[in-house]
Amino acid sequence: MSCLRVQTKAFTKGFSMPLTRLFSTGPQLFQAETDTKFTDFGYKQVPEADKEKLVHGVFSSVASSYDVMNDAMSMGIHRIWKRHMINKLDCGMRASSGEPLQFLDVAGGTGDIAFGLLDHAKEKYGDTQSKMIVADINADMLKEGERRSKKTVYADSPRIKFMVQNGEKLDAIPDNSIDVYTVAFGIRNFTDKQAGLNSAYRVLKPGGIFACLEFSKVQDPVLDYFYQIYSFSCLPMMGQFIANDRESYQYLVESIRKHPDQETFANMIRKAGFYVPGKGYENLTFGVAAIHVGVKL
Amino acid sequence: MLSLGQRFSIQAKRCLVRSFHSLYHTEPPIADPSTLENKILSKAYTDFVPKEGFTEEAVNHAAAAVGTNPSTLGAIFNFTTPSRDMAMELALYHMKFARQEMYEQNKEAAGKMFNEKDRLQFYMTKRLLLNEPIIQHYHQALGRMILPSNVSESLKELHNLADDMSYYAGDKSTDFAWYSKRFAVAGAIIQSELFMLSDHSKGFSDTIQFATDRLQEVNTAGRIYNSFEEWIIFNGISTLNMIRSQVARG
Repeated sequence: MSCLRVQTKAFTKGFSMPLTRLFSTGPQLFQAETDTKFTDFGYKQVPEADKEKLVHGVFSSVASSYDVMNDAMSMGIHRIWKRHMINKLDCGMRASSGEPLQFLDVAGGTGDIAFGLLDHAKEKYGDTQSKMIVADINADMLKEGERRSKKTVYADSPRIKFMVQNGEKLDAIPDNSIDVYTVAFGIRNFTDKQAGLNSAYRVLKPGGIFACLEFSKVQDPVLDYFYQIYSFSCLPMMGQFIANDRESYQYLVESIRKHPDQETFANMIRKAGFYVPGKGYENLTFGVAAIHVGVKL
Repeated sequence: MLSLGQRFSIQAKRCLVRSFHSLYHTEPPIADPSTLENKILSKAYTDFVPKEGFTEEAVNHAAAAVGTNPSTLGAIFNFTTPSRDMAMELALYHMKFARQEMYEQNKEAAGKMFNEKDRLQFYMTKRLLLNEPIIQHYHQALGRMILPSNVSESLKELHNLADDMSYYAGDKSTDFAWYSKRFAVAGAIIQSELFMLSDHSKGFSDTIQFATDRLQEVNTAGRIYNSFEEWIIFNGISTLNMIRSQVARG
């Protein structure tokens, strides 16, 4: 078992960006700018101020081929994960309640989760009043979602609003105004994830639900070994062939690896102030992805 | 990152958590009142079940009273429970709450009794009487629990109840009787609860009599089994010895 772990490490290191500079000016260079805070951008360390721009670049360049790539990389499983999360959240105005829900889907550029949640509410509870805000920091991704909404029943509907918003701040969203906050495959790209969780706590009404679908850590070391092989060798290559963009997908796999594991992330959610039911997460496909939930009390 | 040793020690600790209920009979709160789920269910159970029965509406009203939104209740429950059925959760809450109360309210009185049979009898009576406040809605709860999709959770809870009763009554069996006792007690519980649904006698005295008879049958069956076992062993050995003696004579 242990030798396998060592192999995995060596393997991932081999395929990653170099972590340290091998020439000697590196340390001096860092010394000169000691007040700059650094954060991870995949395996690279970049100044905090730059990450937003870099992530923006990644998603602007993948916006058009985003869905084709998602389907190719996950072999369609990402649709099942999203559907599973929507079914489990099981949100929708109950007939006896009379109070429409206000959803907020952060980093929901393409609108998958947003349309899914509204569809579920309508199909299961006959809810045709609940509203949705789709927020994304990237205007290109948001445009993709708006374009797609034209093909659904929500085309030009007053029930759905698209907003360019930074998920860490959510400036335009008032405190205590949201019933259900969802973020699917987005929080990984936040510069300060804790700040993102804190803003989620701020905008939610008391009793509101926070739900996050994100890549996580495969729990079984043997499966994890093969998963790492797949993600570090196949995914950037697929990115190169299908979307003609190796760098973006190299960032994608590295950022997945850098994202905190299930327990750590559940603790970050607790730290933001949420009540977490049970252990706080559900693993999907051996932990390749996980759904985290929290309740604002 | 944990070292390999640490990992193993964590796994070893996990193994220690009881897989056999009564060998490590720890006593965590059965219906833990600190979790939000149980707060909602407890509110529904005490305030709304008497009026509305074991229904989804009762849970919805309780959720609103506790300060959560009934329209998003699924998100709170579905990640921790397999049923996805609020009425079932409420029925299970009754089972857990009553099981907890059965022990908490009566452990001192039970401690003064001398034999296992009396204690079992005593706990059984007390547990049945805990159904009294909700008895006019209890058929809904039983109906929910025997739905095919819910039956495995219900059986688990039935086993927990039979196990707790046997354990607190003082069962120390370490052989196959461990199973047969629990099976027999579980059977007696189900029969008595069904009997109780249509019992109109004062203070449910008929139900208590019925339960006493069922437990008496369990005891009789146990004695028959033991006597039969003894008889078989005696005769087996005798037969063997007789054959041996005949063979030795040539």
